[in-house]
Amino acid sequence: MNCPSDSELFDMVVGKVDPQRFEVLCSHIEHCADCQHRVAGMEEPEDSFIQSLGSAIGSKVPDNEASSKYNGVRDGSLAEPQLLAIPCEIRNYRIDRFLGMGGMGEVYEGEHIHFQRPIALKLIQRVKQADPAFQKQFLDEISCLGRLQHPNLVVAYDAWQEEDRLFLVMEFIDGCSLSEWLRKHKPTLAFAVSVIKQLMQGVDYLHTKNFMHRDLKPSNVMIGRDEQVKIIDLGLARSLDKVSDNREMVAGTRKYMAPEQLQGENLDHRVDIFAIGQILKQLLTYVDRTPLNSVQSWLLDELLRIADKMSAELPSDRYDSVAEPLREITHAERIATNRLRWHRMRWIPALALILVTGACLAFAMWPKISPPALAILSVTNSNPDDEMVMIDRHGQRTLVFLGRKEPLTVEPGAYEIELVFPNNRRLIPEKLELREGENRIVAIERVPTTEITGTQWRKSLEYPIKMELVTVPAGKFGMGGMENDPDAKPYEFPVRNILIEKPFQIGIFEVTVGQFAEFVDATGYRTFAESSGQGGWIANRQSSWGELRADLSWHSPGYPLSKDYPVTVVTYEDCLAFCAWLSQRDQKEYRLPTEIEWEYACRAGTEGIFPFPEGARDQYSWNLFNTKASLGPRIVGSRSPNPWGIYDTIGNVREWCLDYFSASTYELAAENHPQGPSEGTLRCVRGGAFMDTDPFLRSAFRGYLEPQKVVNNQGFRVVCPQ
Amino acid sequence: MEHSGKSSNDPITTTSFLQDLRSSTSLRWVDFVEIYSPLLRYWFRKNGVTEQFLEDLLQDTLLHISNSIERFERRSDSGSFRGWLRTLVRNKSVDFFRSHHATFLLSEDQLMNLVTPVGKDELELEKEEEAIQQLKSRAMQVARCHVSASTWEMFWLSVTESSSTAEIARQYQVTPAAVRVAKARVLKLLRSILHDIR
Repeated sequence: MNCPSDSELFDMVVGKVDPQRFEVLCSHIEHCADCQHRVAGMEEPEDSFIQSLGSAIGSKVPDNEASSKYNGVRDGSLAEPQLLAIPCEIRNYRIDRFLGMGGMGEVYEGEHIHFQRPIALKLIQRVKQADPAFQKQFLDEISCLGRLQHPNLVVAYDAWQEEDRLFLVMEFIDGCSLSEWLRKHKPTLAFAVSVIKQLMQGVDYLHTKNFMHRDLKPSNVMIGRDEQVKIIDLGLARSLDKVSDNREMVAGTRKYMAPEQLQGENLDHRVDIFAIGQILKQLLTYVDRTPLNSVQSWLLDELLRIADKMSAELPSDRYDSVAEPLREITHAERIATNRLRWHRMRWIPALALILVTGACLAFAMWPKISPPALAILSVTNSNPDDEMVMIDRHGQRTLVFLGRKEPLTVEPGAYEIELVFPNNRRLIPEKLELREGENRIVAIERVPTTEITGTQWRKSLEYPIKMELVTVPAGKFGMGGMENDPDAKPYEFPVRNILIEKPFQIGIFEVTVGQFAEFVDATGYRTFAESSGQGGWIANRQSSWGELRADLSWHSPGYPLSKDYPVTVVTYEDCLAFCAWLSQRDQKEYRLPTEIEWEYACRAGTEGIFPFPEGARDQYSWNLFNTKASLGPRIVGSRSPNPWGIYDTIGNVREWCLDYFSASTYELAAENHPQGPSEGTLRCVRGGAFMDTDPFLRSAFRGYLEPQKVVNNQGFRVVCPQ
Repeated sequence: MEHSGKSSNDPITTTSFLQDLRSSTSLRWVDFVEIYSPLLRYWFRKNGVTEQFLEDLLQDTLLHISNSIERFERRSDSGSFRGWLRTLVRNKSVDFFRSHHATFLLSEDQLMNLVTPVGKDELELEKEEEAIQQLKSRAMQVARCHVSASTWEMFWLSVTESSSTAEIARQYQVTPAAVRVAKARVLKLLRSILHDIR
């Protein structure tokens, strides 16, 4: 662009140009030495707006929430009326300190005289002297709430009424309310997500127990140590409606009140959903967008969308339960983590510095200078729990949650799409070429039930199917069980320090049904299950040996499948045959991983019991906890990968390893026996499967199986030594 | 992250893209409520609206503003923003007293007085000025949350401590032009929040 005129440059410097023009000028100045010089040399503008700002800086801002309503102070000065003369004793409590004005009354700190348990006492003034029956009902309700137990709820221990004063005794929290927190700190995106999720978990629990909060707002959300969220004043709003004659006191902060609440209509739990949405919006407002990358910005926008839906005007436009947005947030977080990792991984091939710099620059500037022209994709006929994997032409996989049934905005390009759990359904079409601005609809169609074990997936195969590998670096790791792991087995010890001398390649995914089909089509191979006529076992929740079926085979494994499912019902020999064929096809060596290679790749530099963060099991693996509704594997790569970009090492299907199994393997020196003992009857099996629980999902877990056993939870992945 | 409005005409994209536009180019609604509510409350109280009805009326007014602010911003002959807001509050107050006339028994004269005020005394002016100052102060708190820490600090040093551009540039090890741009960024934001209020 041409350099801006002096007058435009001046307008810009005093902040008078419109926002879009502003960004254009900024990026021009950034690259134009001449304009930098002009800007720097400009005289300080005499601008009344700027001068007026200087004068405002000294003025005191009254505390918004505490200022007017509850204590009757109108003029913005914050008085501290104390109804109790402290220290004092009331019933079984010693009250030591005035904490301040809470949502509806004064709050004091103290302890139980006998138990020395720290407590907070809330004193609410001007409560109606209701008739005894009414009062009893109210106190009953408080005590009923007192029996609720959830880490994100603060519950009242005790409550009583004396004349027109209501006393509430509750758990003492070392921290401050969210509204206070926000005055002192600036939340990060991660903080906002963590707080809102905890808030949702607490409220979800409350709702499942048939209670509503009805007065959720930042001042009722306490932030304790370690940013633990505790919701206070449970059910107080509702109860106080009945006993209070002071309407203002119950009125709360309207910003968080659902429209139907203001109109006094029949209320249900969706007023809480509204309030959480408002709180989320407020939190996000404070999040600084400048340091966010494009993926984090996407997450923030996604959260805003969820918040908007939560606080929709009409209750029927909101979510039906708190669990739904909670799931969507968790899901969005997961997608953001995956995309972030992908962005990092894509730099690896661009070794030339100049390329990296160029790409980074383009990436950093992209949102400003070239707005993404997106395509719209709608999927019809989905179930609430449906997930779809989109694979772009680089092989990048994005997991998409279909439950909210809203159109997706997608970057244009070619995609393969697939349901994570087809269950006799499929997407029509399964391959897409999306153009800029295009609006495409994809339908989920039921496959005729005669095809339960179906061959539909075979029609969409295109050979050759690439074996996707990742190179893992040379390095050292500790192989074996953890001392603090209650599930560790004696034969996982002693822990061996293993040196991996040179990098090797390993399959990013477990070998898929599609890949195995290519092998079978190319060679006419018949697996042991087919050629022996003995079929194989269907695993159930209790055991791998659930039910023996003579017709079980790799293409009919006892659960509905698609081409991207991991292949199962294969023996050790079947795997070797596959590797031999693949080696020939690609003219390089493929084989099963040794136990050492497998555990090294699975740990990917992690040192804990599990190769994923604590509490993230179901995000990183398919296991009994997330497959029990319909037991079976899921398509490969539909959970998060480990730090090296390898998917499903833990869970989905168990994987054959090259080695013989022996309980004394770990006593052998690894450098002399990289493949374990030289003879045996059992082969090693690693990684746990869809029907497994924690003990089988550990990095160090060692399983074993007779090489000719045929089970539908048993698959494999390949390595390619370099 | 700024997106141009290219796709916003497409009805299907409106939800996500307009949201982007709203959130990046103008003030968020929550911020507006935060910043402007105290001033509106002050005006309502001055018009004689009692506490009991104040919050409802405020809510109603905010809703009205949110529906018509874009129209106000588009019109070049709209007059001052402050005047526009005050007129809204006045009209809402009058409507309110009319509909509650049984409760308040205001004479038509008194109502007219609300519509065309006789003038303000000194004390009133002073109080209003104080409310405006607080509003600006709040606006700055909000603006601060929307820019990076260093951008804010450079702006702050320049406006409150009257440090020279060159000094600030030295202190933050950036070019003088970068200081100017940082300051301009905050000013642009504050202008979008405060319109012509000064």
